[in-house]
Amino acid sequence: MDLAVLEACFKYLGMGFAIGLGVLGPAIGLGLATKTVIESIARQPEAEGQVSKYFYIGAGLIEACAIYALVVVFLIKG
Amino acid sequence: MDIKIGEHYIYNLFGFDVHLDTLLTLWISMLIILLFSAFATAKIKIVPNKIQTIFEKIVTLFVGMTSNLGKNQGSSALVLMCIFLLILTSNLLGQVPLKIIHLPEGEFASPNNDLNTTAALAVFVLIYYIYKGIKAKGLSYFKHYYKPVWFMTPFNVLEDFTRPFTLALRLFANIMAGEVMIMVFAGLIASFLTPDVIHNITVNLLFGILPENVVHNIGLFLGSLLPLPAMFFELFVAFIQALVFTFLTNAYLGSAVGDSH
Repeated sequence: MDLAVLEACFKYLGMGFAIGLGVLGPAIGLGLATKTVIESIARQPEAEGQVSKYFYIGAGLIEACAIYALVVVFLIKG
Repeated sequence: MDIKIGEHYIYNLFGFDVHLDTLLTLWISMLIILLFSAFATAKIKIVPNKIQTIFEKIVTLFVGMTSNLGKNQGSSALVLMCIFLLILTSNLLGQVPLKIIHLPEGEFASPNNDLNTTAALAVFVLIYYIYKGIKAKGLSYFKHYYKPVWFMTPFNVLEDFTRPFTLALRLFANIMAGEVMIMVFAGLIASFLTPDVIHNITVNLLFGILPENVVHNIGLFLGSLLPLPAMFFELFVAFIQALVFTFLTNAYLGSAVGDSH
């Protein structure tokens, strides 16, 4: 096999693995955060404003981790 | 599809090589903030009108947010409000279709789509919280570098580098990912509607009641609606990222000024 073709193959493989594995952690984290928020709102409905404020900020921070993976994908693509 | 990131139109302005697209959109957002503030505070009354009420709400939000800063509350609230308004206006400007103005290279997007803008903001935050810390505690501010135990010093020094780095990269990457997502959604229909597909749809699905070019145009119109959900999501992200940036700045200021640890 041609070396350039092999390089392109591994490049695409790396891009796929980077975004696929990189999204796993933030997905679990976002799921846990949402679960906790829903539980706490169900337990104390009057705390919804306070809880959701911090949830939005936390969700923004968690989402950024997944987007770092996307940045790495674009870096691999070059 | 060919997606390029980090491409900007470099232009020589007064002897400086600048990214013209970033510079112009940043000036537009600065102009918007200036006009908004001027109109909001032009005729200040005890019973505020609509725009003054909005402005008072924003100021109150940031005065409340910085209540952990003690006597630094007033000035820090104003700085945080300026950062928040600039980032929010810049992010929202990315959803205005300025891309129809063609440049030789790059495109008009949000100014935060350029790492230089966000890095400048982050470095400003770094200098500002160190300045506030030295002003509050004097030279004993630097004692916090070896606070828990002495061998934590490298990590404490490293923190001053990672904080602005993550601040800048988080904002830039979120806005950039939004732009790329919208571009991908907008480009999907162009790769789907090949002449073969249009011919098949016209003959087999519509039994030839419409000419092929009409089918093509209808398809393009429907496809142009595809990025709309992503754009609504980006409005949300614009607000959240501006808020995250100010919240983290506030936290860093609090740890620099406060004497809790």
